[in-house]
Amino acid sequence: METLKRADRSNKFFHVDEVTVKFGGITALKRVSIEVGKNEIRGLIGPNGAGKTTLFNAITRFIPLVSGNIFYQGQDITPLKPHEIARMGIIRTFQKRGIVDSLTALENVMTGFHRLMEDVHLWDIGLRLKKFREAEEEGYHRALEALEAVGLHGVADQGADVLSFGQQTLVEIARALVSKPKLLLLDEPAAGLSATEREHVMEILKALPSKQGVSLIITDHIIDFVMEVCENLTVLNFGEKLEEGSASYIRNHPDVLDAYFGRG
Amino acid sequence: MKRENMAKKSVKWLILLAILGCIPLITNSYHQYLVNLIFVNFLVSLGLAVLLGYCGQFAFASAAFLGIGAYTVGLSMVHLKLSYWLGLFLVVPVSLLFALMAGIIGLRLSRYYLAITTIAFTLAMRFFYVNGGGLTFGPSGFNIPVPKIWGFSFNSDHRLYYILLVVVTILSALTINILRSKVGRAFIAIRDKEEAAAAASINVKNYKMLAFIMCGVLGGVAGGLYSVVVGRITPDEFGMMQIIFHFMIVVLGGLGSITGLMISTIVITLLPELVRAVKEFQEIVYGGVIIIIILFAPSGLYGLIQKYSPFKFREKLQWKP
Repeated sequence: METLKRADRSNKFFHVDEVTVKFGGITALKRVSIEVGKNEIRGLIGPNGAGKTTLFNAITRFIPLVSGNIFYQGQDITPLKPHEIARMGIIRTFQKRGIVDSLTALENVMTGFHRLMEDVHLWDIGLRLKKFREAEEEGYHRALEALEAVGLHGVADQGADVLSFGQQTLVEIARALVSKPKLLLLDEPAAGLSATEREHVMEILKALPSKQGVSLIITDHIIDFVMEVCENLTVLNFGEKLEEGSASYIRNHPDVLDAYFGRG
Repeated sequence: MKRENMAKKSVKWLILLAILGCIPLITNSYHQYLVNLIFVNFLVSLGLAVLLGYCGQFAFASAAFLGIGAYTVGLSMVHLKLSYWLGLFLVVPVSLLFALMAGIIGLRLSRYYLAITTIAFTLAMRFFYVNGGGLTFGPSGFNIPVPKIWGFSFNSDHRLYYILLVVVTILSALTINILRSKVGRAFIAIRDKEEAAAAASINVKNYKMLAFIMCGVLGGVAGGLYSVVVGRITPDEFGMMQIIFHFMIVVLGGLGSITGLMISTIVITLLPELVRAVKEFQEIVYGGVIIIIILFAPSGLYGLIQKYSPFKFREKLQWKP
């Protein structure tokens, strides 16, 4: 296996260690390990049913693990609950879009700011004290900025339910960005986007590590998108890690081609 | 600029309060009684709106909390000879305790089971009032003493109104403030997509519990106010009919809307009185009118306002400086 590119792996920023997940009798993930360095953009690819979304669900603890551990900045985060994982700065998006339909686009993005409003208490809110007003105002402006960054400032006050799938994707990315993540897990961020939107999202994501010190794990079926954005790729197939390496290495790897297209 | 806006806002609220304060000048005793009922119904429905409308929990415990509040105040005045004010204050910890219990159960049950359990809880409380013997005065209920303060007696509907105005305004303002913030956004996120809420670092369990507590305390205090408004409480007032009554107010108003809730409280409270003219057909007309409203406003009165109002109208869940 070719050595992974660029990433600083010595500090073990994020480490999934031999995680196994079962649904009934089916093994959805079998002793899968991934290491992601600080400021690395890691692609996670594989055919349908390979276990990409399951791995995201396992990392964010939406599903129970049979065995294995997850380490983040040297800490074992396996016993944490989903909201505690998010609180630590590991933010995810959903393949079927985790948009709250009855909120406006702006309010959706503001829920991303929830993580940074931890110290605003009920009495601050009820009595509209200074702490609340400052936090809410900051959240409001940051959410507007984030919507502007993804090119959606025009629909800020529209209900999220009337947005297109592509726009919902962008709202979800904006919500993730506003919460100042340290590790961002994006589940098919390019699906449903137009070519220009995809180009735009690509630029935003590529700039994240250097600008804001964010590491990313991205899954997608649009291989060109993944190849363009990610430095290193991990390939899953039938719940097992098939191969790992730089984008160019993976692109021409015979086993990977087999997994996608079948043996000719 | 900001300070100016805030001053403008407070002037607006003061004018509204002044208008509300003048209501007793133009009402007779019966009309004032109806206004008082509207205030009580608004407070208890607001509690249910938080739990059901915003947080999406199918818990129909508001009628039980109303009863708990009313009986706590009444019994503490009659048995313990406490003043009304102390009794009303006592309602807060008592209903909080019951709300915690309901919440602990509520977190373990999903929607339909939660609905059945909370309805059973309401009926069980009614059963307790009926069979409480000397403690609860049985099925025929008991009279609530008139509240007094420094020799001033709140012995008319007009005088009672000012207690309601103060308590309901303060509690509603606090509640609405809380809803128009990260808390309201968290509630709606939990209602619409629980996983997305958790992924945004929202502690789903804690926020559900908060919704139960808000529903419990608002319902309890409303019960404490209700007891003096009606003057005499009986167990039958806190049964199935009361549950349906609150449910109708919340659903008719439109889930997750305060404006709709205000209008529907007025409509649903006054409707039985308005259709009183048709005597024996009263219940039929009452039911018929509600069916018609639901048919033409499937998303509640709030949806109707949004559809037909000439200007764009959407309740914000954020604070605007």
